[in-house]
Amino acid sequence: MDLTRPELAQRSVRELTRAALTSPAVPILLLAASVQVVRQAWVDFAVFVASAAVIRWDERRWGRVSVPPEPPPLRRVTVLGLGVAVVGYAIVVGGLPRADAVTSLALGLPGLGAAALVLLPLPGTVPARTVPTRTASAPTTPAPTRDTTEPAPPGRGRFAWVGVFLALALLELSAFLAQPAPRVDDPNRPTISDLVEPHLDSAAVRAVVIVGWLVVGVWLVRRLRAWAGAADGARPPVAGR
Amino acid sequence: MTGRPLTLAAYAAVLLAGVSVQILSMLVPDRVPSLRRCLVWVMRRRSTQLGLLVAWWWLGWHFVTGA
Repeated sequence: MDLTRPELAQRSVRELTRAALTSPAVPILLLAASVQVVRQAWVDFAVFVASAAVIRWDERRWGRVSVPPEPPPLRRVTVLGLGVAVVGYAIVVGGLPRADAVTSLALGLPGLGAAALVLLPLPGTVPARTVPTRTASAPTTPAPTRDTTEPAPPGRGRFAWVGVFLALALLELSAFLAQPAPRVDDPNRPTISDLVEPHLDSAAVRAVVIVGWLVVGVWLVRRLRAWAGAADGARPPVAGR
Repeated sequence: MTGRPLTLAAYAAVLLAGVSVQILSMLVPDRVPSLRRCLVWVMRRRSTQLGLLVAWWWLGWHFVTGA
């Protein structure tokens, strides 16, 4: 059945909306990038646009929809080594002047490291979608089944969290829009940055914040690597290739 | 109450709401999930995983450098 132009447009809007709701990372990043244009914060803009591009590329490598499993516990010596590295890094970087290129670069390192750990395939594995299903050397290899069934949501109470984060986002947005200029604060309508940043002038506070930031980062990276290495998602490359 | 006090009160209310939901999640975990449980569930898609990673890095960089 041929669709009329309005019907086609309606269907496209429906599909785009559904895609944005089920996989909102790229639309959110592009929205955030457009805010950075208004702020004339070009580094932030480049980070968000590049991240959106990487996510679009990476998304095609993986077809699985599954909750990241609990990563295996760390050995005591690893925890100790990580702890020393995190605290040492926080003391050094926390002591650097804030608005400095060296500080920016130093803070970029954990991000680059995390991206490498998450994006590069784990040793001996390749993303599920890129696994060849039939090769000359292994013609009987069964096709990997991609689990795209939605895992059960964690109860209706999750909408309470949606409400909390939506309220925070709206508050921040309204404070940002109330500013007389994109980089000039309105003392009557402070953004979260206006409230938090003065407290970060102290090197000690910055060091503590960096420790917390890195702890969250380690948690995130370990979860994502556990997801990538889960038995039903990443499969060892087919023998002979 | 207007202006700055009102905005601060609104931020405090959102913070209080977040803390309350987290406490509720400890009291009735089968009805209200914790923030951690929600985050892990949200990470079921690869795009969200990487989106959260970018958000994590950018927040740290933004606040510490004041950029």
